[in-house]
This record gives sequence, C-alpha cells and structure tokens, in this order.
Amino acid sequence: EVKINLADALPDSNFMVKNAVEFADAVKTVTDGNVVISVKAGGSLGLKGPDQLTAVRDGLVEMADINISQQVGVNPLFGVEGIPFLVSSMDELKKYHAIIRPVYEELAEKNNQKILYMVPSPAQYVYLKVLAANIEDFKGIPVRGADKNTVDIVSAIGMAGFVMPWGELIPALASGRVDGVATSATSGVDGKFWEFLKYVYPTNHTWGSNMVTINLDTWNSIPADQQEAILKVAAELEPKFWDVSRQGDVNSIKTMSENGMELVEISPELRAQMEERAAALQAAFLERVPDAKPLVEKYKASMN
Amino acid sequence: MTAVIGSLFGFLFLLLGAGTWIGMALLATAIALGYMFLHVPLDRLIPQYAFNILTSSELVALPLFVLMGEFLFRTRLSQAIFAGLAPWAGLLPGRLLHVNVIGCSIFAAISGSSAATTQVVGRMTLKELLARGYSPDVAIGSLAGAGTLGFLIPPSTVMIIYGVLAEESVLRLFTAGLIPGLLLAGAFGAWIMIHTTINKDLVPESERALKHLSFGQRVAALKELWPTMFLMVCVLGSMYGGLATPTEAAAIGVVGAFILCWIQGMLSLEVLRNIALGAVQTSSVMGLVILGASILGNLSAMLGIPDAVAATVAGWNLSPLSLILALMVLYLILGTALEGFSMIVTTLSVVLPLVEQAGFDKIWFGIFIVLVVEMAQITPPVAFNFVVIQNISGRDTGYIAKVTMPYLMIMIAFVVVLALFPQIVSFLPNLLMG
Amino acid sequence: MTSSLNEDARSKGLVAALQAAADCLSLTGAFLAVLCMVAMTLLVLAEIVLAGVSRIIPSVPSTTHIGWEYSGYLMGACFLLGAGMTFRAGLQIRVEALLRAGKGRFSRVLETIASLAGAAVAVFVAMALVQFALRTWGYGEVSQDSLTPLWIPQAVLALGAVIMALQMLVRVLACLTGAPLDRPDLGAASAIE
Ligand code: NA
Ligand code: NA
Repeated sequence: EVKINLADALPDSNFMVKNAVEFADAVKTVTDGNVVISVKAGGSLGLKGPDQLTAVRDGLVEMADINISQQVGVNPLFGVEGIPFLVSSMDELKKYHAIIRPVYEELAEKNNQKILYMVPSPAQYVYLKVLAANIEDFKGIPVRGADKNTVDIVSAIGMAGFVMPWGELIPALASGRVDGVATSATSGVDGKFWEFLKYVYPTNHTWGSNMVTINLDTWNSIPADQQEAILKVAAELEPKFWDVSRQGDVNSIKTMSENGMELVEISPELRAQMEERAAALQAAFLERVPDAKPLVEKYKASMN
Repeated sequence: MTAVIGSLFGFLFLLLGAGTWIGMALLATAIALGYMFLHVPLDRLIPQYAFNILTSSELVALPLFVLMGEFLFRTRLSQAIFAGLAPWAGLLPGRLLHVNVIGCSIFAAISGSSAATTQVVGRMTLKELLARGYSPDVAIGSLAGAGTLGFLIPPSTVMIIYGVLAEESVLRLFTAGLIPGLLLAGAFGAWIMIHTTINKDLVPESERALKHLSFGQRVAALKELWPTMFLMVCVLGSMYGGLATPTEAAAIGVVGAFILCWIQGMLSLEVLRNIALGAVQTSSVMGLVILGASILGNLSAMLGIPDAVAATVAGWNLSPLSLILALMVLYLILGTALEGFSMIVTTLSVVLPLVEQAGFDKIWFGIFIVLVVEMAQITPPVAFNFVVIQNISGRDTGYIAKVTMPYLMIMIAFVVVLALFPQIVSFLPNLLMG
Repeated sequence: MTSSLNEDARSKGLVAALQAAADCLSLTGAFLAVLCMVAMTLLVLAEIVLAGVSRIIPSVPSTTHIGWEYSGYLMGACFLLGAGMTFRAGLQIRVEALLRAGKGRFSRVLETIASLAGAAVAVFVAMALVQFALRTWGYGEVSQDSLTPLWIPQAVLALGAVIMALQMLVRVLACLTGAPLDRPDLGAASAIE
C-alpha cells in the first residue's frame, strides 16, 4: 500500500480541492485500495502556494495541487499562462495548453515530479466600488492583486495595484483602505465581495492553472499497471474538472448578482484600450523570458 | 495512532518537565516524531517550515505591537491611565483590578491577536498594579484571562482564518464576536468583584479611600487620560478611517507611542537602547515559541493526528449539546500542546460538517472556535499568554496557571451558555446585516 | 591533585573564553536584530504613507511593492538574530518548577539535560537552515513577487540560528564545568523585579 499526502493551499470549499478529493477517490478505486491519497487542504501541512513545486521535488510531500503561476520564482517559464490579454476564453486556453503543457511536463520532470492533471482557474475579474465608464475612471483606484503579474496588469490599466495578505484584505476593504480586488469569481464568492464592492468587470486579463503532480520517487514505487490506471483515470477526469471550473465561474457570477453585485459590460473600445496599455507588459515578459517567445508565437499562429 | 499521540505528549511533557525552553522542547518533539513516524527528509522540511513561519507577513503586527508596548512601558502613560481611572474604579469592588479587563477590551478592538493584547496591556498595567499593592494573583490572572479577548473582540486573526476555511463572511464573524466579547469581559469583571468581596486583602488598604472622592475630583482626574485617548485615536482612527490595514495600524501605534515618549521628554539614548533591546528580546522569545508550536502543529497535520482525533469524536454520534461539550474537551486537550491556529486548520475539515449536521450555525461555531483557541492561550504548558506574562513578570508557568484557572472556568461556562442561548451570537449580525 | 586542579582551572578559563566569544556574537546578533526591527517598522510606515499620499497626489507611487514581503523577512531575521542573546540573558521561557525545586546537584543535572536537548535542536536547525540557503542558492530560486533571491533572507535566518546554536553549545560546556550560565546584564532591564 502506498500512502500519499496531497498538499493543497486552497480551502476545502474550493472546487480545486473538491476535484482533488474526487481524483483521490477514483485512484483508490482503480488501484484496488493500494494507492491512498489523502488531501490536506487549507495549507494545513504548513506549505505555502509558492513552496509546492519545490516541496514535491524535495520529497517534503508526495503530491501537491500546485498553482502554476506561483512557481515563477523557480522558473520564469511558469508565467506563460499569465501573459496579459493573450488568451480570452477557456476554449482558447485549451488550445494554448496543447502548446505549453509539454513544456510544463518537461519542467516538472526536471523538478523530480510528474503532472497528473491540470485544471484552469476560472476567468479573472476586477471588482470595484465605482462604475467606470471609460478608462480614465479606473485611474488611481487602490486594487489588490494576488501576485505581481496581476498587480502589474491592473497598474498598467491605470489603477493603483498592490499585493496584500488575504487576512488584511477584508478589514481593509471594510475600512476603505482598499477599493477593489482583481481575482476570479470563485475567489470573489469566497471573500463575499458583495459586502464591500458593487461592480464586476469581466476583464479576463490573465489566466492561470493548477497542476496536480506527484514526486517521481513515489511514482516509481507504484507498480506499472497501477501507474497506467492512475494516468487513465486522470485523463478521464480532467475534462470534467475543466467543466467544474467553467461552471464554478457561472455559478459564482450568479451568486454575486443575487447578492446585488452588477456585472458590467466592457465595451470593445474600452477593452482595446486596456489591451493597448498592457501590451508593454507582454513585450517585457517575452524579453525577460525569451524561452516563452516561440510558445506564444506558435499559439498566435494557431489562432489565425 | 495511539503510539504517535502518546509519543507526542510523552516527549513534550518530559522535556518541559526537565526545564527545556518551551520553543526548543516543541521543536525537539516535532523532530523526534518526524524521525519516528514520517518518511520525509526532515533536514529539508524543518527549514522550509521555519522560513515560512518566521517570515509570514500575517505575523508582522505582533512585533510592532511589542515595540509599541516597550515605548509605553517607558513613558508615564501607564501611571497616567491609573491616575485617571483610579477615582472611577474606586466606585467598584475590586478597584483598579478592573483595568486589565477594561484595558484588554479596548485594546482588543485595536489588535487582532491575544498575545499582542496581553503584551501591550500587561506592559502598562502590571508593574503599576503591583506597585500599588494589589494582589498579584488577581492582577496576573485577570491579565491572562482578559488578554484572550484579543481574538473575540474584532478585529480578529482567528476569525479571518476561520472565515476563509469555513466560507463564512469575516465581517459577519466580526459583528458576531462583539456581544460575546463584551459579555465575557463583563463576566471577568463580575468575578473580580466577587473575588475581592470575598477576600478583602486582595485590594490594598490605601486604595479603599478612593470611594470617598467627590464627583468633581473624579471628572478632574479624566484629563490624565488624554495621552491614552491620543493613542487610541491614532490607531483606531487610522484603521477604521481607511488609512491603514490592521497590521499597518500597529505601526501607527508605534509612531504614536514614540511621539508620546518624545513629548514627555523621556527619549534618552539609554532609554532608546532599552526599548529596542527589550522589543527584540520579547519578539525573539515569542518568535521561538511560535516557531516550535507551529512546526509541531504542521508535523501533527502530516501525521494526521488532529483529524484522526476529530474523526473519533465524529464516530460517537453524539447529541448536539454533548457534541459541543466533547469538542470543547477535545480542543482543550489538543490546546495544551498545539498552537491554536494549527488546531483549527487541521481539524476543521472533519469537525465543521459534523457541527453543521448537528444544527449549529457556522457563525456560531466560529465564535466557539475563537473561544477554544482563546482557552488554548491559557492552558499550560504551551500557552502564549503565559509566555507573554512570564516575560513581563518573571513569574513561573505553574503560578500563572493557578491564578488564571478561575478565568478559564468562566470561559468554559461561557461556552455552555452560548450553546444554550445561541441568540447571544446571532442577535447582532442578524440585526445589522439581516 | 594539584595538576587536576590546574586542569580544572584551565578548562574553566577555556569555557569562560568561549562564553565571552559566544556573548560577543550574540550581542552582535541582537544589534542586527534591532536594525531589522527598525527597518521593518519604517517599511510598514512607508507603505501607509505612500498609499495615503498617492490618493492626493496620483503621481506618487501607491506602494513600495515589497512592503509585505520584506517586512516578513525582517521580522524573521529579528526573531532569530535576537535568540542567542535572549538565551544567554536567561529570558527564554521555560517551566521552572523542577529546576527550582531541585537542590544544587539535581538542578544542575536537569539544567544539563535541558541544555543538551536545546543544543541538539539548535544545532539541527542551524545546520538545516544553512543547507537550505545553500540549496536555494544552487537552484537560483527567487521570490514570486519581487524576484528577490530567496537564499538571502534564508541566509540571515541561518546566521541567527548559528549564533543561537553556538550559544547553546557553550552552555552545555558551562553546565559540565560548573561555570555561571545566565548573564541577565546582557539584555535590557525591563522585567518587573
Ligand atoms: Na481583536
Ligand atoms: Na495551551
């Protein structure tokens, strides 16, 4: 019997964790109870998001649900999904994944682990207290972003972006120290943003995925037939998990609307202005991470 | 699992008994458990944990409040508070012994943590209370007990963590904590009155005269409170006025305290040196205990200890009230050795569905969780409020535990009252937020 | 008899010299810890000031971008760099019931056990942190937000842990030779006596 801990920084209620639990159950079934994965959510193992890749690499934990964009400190290529305004829908993301997944798999192997499945976070939004009719209306609004990439994007659009721990965010929103947040709709529901914010802007500024990986030493200790069964079940579940993410987005927007938040339509002109302002970031990223360039070019070519 | 839990408590209590420093004993227990029962490279895991814990930005408010406390300790602020409050406290049985409860209730509205609350209030009150001849038993016990209010009266770090884990509104939790917080403070105050009425010697003879002041004298004394008011306005104003987050407000508190020291002409090089070194000492003492307790908590989670214990309780199929009592006992036991936060994070996924099924509301359970984490702050051997008070007063854990016992009992009884009358929790959020 | 006395004196002199060296390191650590604490406070204040001022004057940046991350590093540094001094000054918290109850020799035995356990833990943590920083350096890992090389804050923690470990090792020697253990004068005069 192989007993495995799966570290997850997200809380139990998050759909990524629920997916991981479903995967664990499926693995137990297809391996006849030989491979038992217990999902430890909410960061309860004491590992933080940005540690997870190296934690699996070093064998601190056998498996982890890794937020890929948080791993840019290990290798900047993990930031290719976050390039602003490159991908505009989950269907497009699927095509992008066909190009970047082999690269991620290679990076994972270099870090002594194997990707079992990948699931994107739902679309990204900006939540504000005010209704912005044109791009100048965004100017100077203090907005919290989860990471540097998001902060850079909202700052490029004209807002005053910054990072801040989640625990500080809620009191800061209540007092007006912060007047906006950039994140996914599922996180927006987690934070009950309708208590502080009113307008939801479907900016779709960036994408990000999680990957569930397993340490290669652990992997190699599993008999070959069971490895095959695990890979098979992962491949079967992955499209379903994507649907869960898509549905999570729809449901969360519905919840926020029911609670009085308003989904603002972003006009094509406004979107064009946002994209124009963020274009420099795209260029800067590709310059800093030249290995990303061929991937992006290949993707853009495939879209035409 | 019994072997794992037995080793945990065995190692810990043995090492602590021999007089090993608390942080070191916790670390040693964690490392020993890791070697015995885990197959992970501990020499890589422990430093990763240490780095995460020691550099966690969620913790930054604590050393800032410690620094603020050091400034206040060396100003005349504490004497001024006493001069201002003494004529009024003279109206109550127990006299100035109420300052800890009142001070902690007020400071709890500034700080999200119990250790910070205990530290700052204790720094200001303890020396002065003892100098005036009040009983150290009540002075120290009420400080340890009331210091825990830091978690119950908003803002509260425990509520924020619970809110994220349980998908509950943090704002609603904050609102729900207010009435129980004030009631608990009231209960502590009531106990002080009862205790000092039974035993007259707890209050010094000289203070009994305070009863006979005129109303004018009492009002005149209030002007002594302006430095305190100034500091309150700085910190609370910046936080609720949208200038600062809770952590940032702590830094504003440091500036406010610095300005007070400066105005009062107390800033010599020697004083500054003592303030700086004192703050580093206290932070370092707390940091090592936090480090040890958190690492032991993380390793317990890896070993699956808290979820196994919680799952055992789940298997008993208890009635709602006995479930709550069983959970309280469970958390009281875990809380002797584990740090409050890891206790919640590791058990909640098992316990929360159970409690919801039994018909308890998640907001109510959030307040319950806050109370058991508060209790963990004052149950030895791993008790953060005791660490703080030991550092301030130089008294031993055993003594502090003894004098804090009545306040722990009040908290236990309070949980039972909340279980019988859940409206105490739900009233204010329902009124204000529907 | 005389020679053993001489040896005793020599070993006591050696321990005293080691203690002086460890104290010197610990005080340096405490001084660095003070600097870290001041820097941490100023950094948080800078964050407030920038956020406030940028609302009035939009051309002022609204954040340092590194405030939360670096204040965490500085806090960790402060915690560990101050540890050696707090141990030596006798300020770290312990359960003293048995230590106080026991007379002379028994109390010394307990003290030795406690110091051995403390030294073992401190040495483990110090060595592990040094290796941790070296590995991070080898992999070239940087932080997610500011792209700061992570080995730098890790090395500062390691330095604090090394000082603490040295202080604990010297303490074990002092226990065995009967040299004085605590030096309260090293810390700030602040506890209520
Ligand atoms: Na509070
Ligand atoms: Na405790």
